[in-house]
Amino acid sequence: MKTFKKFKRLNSNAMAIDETHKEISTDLTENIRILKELFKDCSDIVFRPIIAGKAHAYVLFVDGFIDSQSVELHGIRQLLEEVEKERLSVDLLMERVLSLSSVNEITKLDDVVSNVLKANTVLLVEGLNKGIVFDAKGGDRRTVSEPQTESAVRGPREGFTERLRVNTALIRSRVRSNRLKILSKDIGEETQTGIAILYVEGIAAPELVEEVISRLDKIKIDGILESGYIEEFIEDSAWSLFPQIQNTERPDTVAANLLEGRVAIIVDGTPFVLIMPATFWQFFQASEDYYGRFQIYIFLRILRLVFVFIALTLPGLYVAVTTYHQEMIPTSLLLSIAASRESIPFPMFVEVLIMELSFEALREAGIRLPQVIGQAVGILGALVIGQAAVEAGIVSAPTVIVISLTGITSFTIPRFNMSIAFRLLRFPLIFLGAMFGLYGVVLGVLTVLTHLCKLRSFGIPYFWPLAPLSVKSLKDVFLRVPWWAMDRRPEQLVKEDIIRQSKETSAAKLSEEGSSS
Amino acid sequence: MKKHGLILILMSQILFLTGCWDRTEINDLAFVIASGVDKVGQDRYRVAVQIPLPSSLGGAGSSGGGGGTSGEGPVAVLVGTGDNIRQSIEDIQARLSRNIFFGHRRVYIIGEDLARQGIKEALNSTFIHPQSRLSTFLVISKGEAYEMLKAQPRMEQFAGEAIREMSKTTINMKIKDAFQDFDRPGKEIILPYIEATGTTEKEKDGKEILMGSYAIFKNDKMLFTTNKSESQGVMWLNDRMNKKSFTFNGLKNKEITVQIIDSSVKTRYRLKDGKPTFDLSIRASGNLLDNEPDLRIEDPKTYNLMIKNMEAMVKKNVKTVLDHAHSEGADIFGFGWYVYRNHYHEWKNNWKDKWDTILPELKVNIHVDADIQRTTNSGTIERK
Repeated sequence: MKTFKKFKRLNSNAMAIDETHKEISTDLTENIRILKELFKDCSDIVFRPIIAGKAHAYVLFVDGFIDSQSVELHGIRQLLEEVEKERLSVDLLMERVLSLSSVNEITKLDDVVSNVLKANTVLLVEGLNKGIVFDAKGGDRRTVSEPQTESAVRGPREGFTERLRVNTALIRSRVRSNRLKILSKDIGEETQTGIAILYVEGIAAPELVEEVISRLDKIKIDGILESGYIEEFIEDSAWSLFPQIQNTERPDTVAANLLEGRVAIIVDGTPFVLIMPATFWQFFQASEDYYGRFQIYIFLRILRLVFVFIALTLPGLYVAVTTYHQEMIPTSLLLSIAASRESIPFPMFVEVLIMELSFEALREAGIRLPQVIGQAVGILGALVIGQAAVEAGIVSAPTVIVISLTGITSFTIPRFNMSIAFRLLRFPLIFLGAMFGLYGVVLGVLTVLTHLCKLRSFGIPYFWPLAPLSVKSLKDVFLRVPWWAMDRRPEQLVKEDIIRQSKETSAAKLSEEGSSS
Repeated sequence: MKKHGLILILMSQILFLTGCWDRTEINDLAFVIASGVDKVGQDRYRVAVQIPLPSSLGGAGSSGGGGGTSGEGPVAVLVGTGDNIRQSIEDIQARLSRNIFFGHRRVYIIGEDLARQGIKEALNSTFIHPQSRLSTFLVISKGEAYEMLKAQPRMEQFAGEAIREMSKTTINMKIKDAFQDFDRPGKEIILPYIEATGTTEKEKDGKEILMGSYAIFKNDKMLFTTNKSESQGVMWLNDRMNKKSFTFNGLKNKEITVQIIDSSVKTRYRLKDGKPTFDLSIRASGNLLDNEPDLRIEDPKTYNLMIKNMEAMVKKNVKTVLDHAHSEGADIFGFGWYVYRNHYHEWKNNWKDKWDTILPELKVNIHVDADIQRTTNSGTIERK
């Protein structure tokens, strides 16, 4: 019975939807009847009847979406007070009465619906076959605050918020150029999520922008709730573990990438902005790399890559070497491993697996739990795993060290989505190490490397500029050359406007160096 | 897709092509860190291996800790006999719960009796065994090798480790070097000669290891061991005196000691009266370490006198060991090898077969050029 009712309601809704294609008629009551049918059972939609002069009118908006103060001040009060004798017309209302900055006219009923849902306010007046839309967005949303996932010692403290326009403004305020283009698009049959595609005209390759738009056009889904949805729809290799699109919470990162010819996608409702195309190395670079002293960041970048290698291979190598290649371990280290393993009942492989899994459990618990409890989990983990497990003779101390070293090194990857890829790949390598020794580990690493070299992100080889090799572009991969030496944009991305600083800047810097030495 | 699946299955077979599944847990292995081989009777060998006991090494979680409980220490010495070396090892294995693993053997000790009969078999057995390292240090022991492994030097946990550290600082002879010298015409093997001693001369409890002299070989057979002066000569000839101290007579039984900071040995070969003659120039410089006669080394006259004494001492050391070895037919410095490398045709046509007969009368002129570079402080000189 209940389902039948529901079905009926849906049916009536469908009939109303047919009617929305109609033009707005001059008959206000008819308009309101249709709209009320459409917004049936939507308790948050406000139909505010007013009488402006002699004419009846309705103000429509979603409660909580709008800045009610400005609607009242610049809309309703103006209508009530200003419009007395004059005959109402759309132009009059738009130009003289409504004292809001953004005012538009619409003619269709479905535009009324979509504008109301987009947090605009719609005014319908008796006798006019047009509606007036004015923008008085408001309501309580999270304000701009420091990004939680990408903290930096030096650099801007602003992070993206959940509001599309706030986010575009954050970028526009950094790239104040008319060449920064922001295309809009709504995706999601039901959610109608606003999406902005950002690029700098003349720097970003037109084919790239076209490709991004055409991929976005192919998305047909009921709802987009996070940029992760979009990411999975438009990435090149859907089955790959590795992220082919970068996401960030930092507007400065997006601005820098736009200037290197990349395209950004902002999705309304999430602070995570997508940047594409992405290369492997991008995930090992933090925005801070470009703000601090370059020597330190050269060191850190190389260190990060070493750490990634450790994070990926160390447990596998440990299992392989201790169970197959005992001759490779220095004698005294081997003896101390043997001594600490003397009372352990499990094979090395099982021991490593126990540690890895409990470590993953701790990590997951630490992330999911509220911060206060999260700390308790940390203490518990350190005590239980670090101390008690060794003393109880369940795992050996060297294994604890190996696993914690692996964990710590995997945390040094600045991008979380890359870090989890390596986190997962560790397990196959442990299996290979346990089954085939070093041979297996090497084969596993080779497979990963081959896969990385094969991947592409929007036509850009994922491992570029290392494979295919481009010596010129290597200056921003393992190294981070000083800014005055980074005079070109990445050549794989940018075809036309490749010079990013005039010759004089870099030349002046160089001659200064020469004269001072 | 089907094709890819097939390729994947075929590729995965590569993993199994190596064919060996030799996974072993660390705790199923007995790591030999040193081994010794002796000859018993006519044709039987006795092999001794030194194996650390992980349970008494004091790892976290293990019950042991803090060294050995009895007099043995955290190490076991096991002995096996057999008709050849491999069989002797199997004899040990038969009494052992864990597999003997030779990948960590760093010291190989050969007993003097076996060495005098020839070390060829003993060396070969290490060469054949894939687990062996060619970087294993090779030493000759006074008496039975087994006795050396039983020693308990107080500085290190195991005797093997002590012998290894000592070998490194003397002439650094590894199995690989022994094989090389064995293969070189006109060059004989020299190996460190160790004995078990005690803290003092009287207290010979066999707990400490002494590495003070060298065993001189002819082919694979040991000839003699060097005395103190000759040992120093061996060190000079091998250019291993760096950072070692060197004592020579200063004034009336009062000695001066210098620490050698730089040394080099150069050879020149020429024919004199149709006989090969060598000029051996040794350069040595040192820092003053001890000045028993309280001499003013800064004084040029004294200095020259002292330098003369030092040069004479070096020359004497080198000369005695060369004369002794040459008289027994062992070309320990490798003069023949020098000729072989630099004047191959001469070697091949004239000396190759006659070298053993020439050697006892081989003329070697030794030139020593020494100096003392830094005299350091002295607190007593001025009172005189």
